Amino acid sequence: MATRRKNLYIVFGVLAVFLLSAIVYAALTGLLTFNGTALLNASLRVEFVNDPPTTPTIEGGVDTGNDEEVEVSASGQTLSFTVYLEEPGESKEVTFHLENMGTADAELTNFSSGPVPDGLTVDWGDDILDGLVIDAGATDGPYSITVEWDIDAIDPADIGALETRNGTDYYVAALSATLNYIQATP
Amino acid sequence: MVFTPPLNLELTNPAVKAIRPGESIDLDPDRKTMGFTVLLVEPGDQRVITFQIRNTGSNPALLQNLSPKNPDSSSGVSVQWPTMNNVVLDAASTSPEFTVLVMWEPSAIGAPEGVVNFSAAIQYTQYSPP
Repeated sequence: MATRRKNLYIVFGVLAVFLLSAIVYAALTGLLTFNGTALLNASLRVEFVNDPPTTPTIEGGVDTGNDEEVEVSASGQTLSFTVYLEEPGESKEVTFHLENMGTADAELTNFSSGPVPDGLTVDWGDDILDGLVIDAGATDGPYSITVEWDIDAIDPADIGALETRNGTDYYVAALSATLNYIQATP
Repeated sequence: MVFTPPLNLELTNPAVKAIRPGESIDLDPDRKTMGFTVLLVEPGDQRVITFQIRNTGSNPALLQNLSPKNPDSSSGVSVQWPTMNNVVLDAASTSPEFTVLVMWEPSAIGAPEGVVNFSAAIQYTQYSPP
């Protein structure tokens, strides 16, 4: 009986030593952990800005009472504008800003433009815009498109329809430009 | 009477530099685990995560055995962990800022979009000067 009690004391003693060792070890060591997640998520989108004060404008535009003389499409990708020209040699300038709405830097390629009537020369600004890089989240501009009625144009009717506004005759041309862009190479 | 444990390290001041919408960083209540989510938008993009380690124990501590689990190379994501092995932190002191760099490899243009997980752990023990 005494021997059994003695053995029990020994067992409890050994267990106590192990337990104490574990507590001491835990108190004298530890672990710091880092858990990270990377989301790869690039989006690419450039739009014509259509918010004041950088909404597109036509310099020297005619007050037609029509707010849609310059219009940005709902998608923000196309700029449509109507120029009112009185005589050959006259030009109008459309001014606009661009915004990169995406999360990746974008590089503009050439505009895809609508048909240009005979008798008009349009400078789409390719020399500046083609290859232009707009950083993600950035707004850039102003840029301009210039429309000129050729001085040597023969038939004004080629420009477009004749309209009279405020007692003045204009030939009216409707034009448009659509953005093209790719992800800029870092 | 406040009990000061003989050895205790905590993470502190976690931050993602220039944090973007959709990113996050936080510490577990025991301040021993840091979790973060970063957004990589294009090849070459990189995100910087910073933190410090505070020794709230009564003994100096030694950091060692950093064991990272980095993303597979096919993910297009690389992670650079700070050098923490053999760093000694005196009692009641705070470490300099450590930096973790997460990058979308510039060459990984075709890397699939998605979620990439990674982790690391570092052990600390009581420091005994030689």
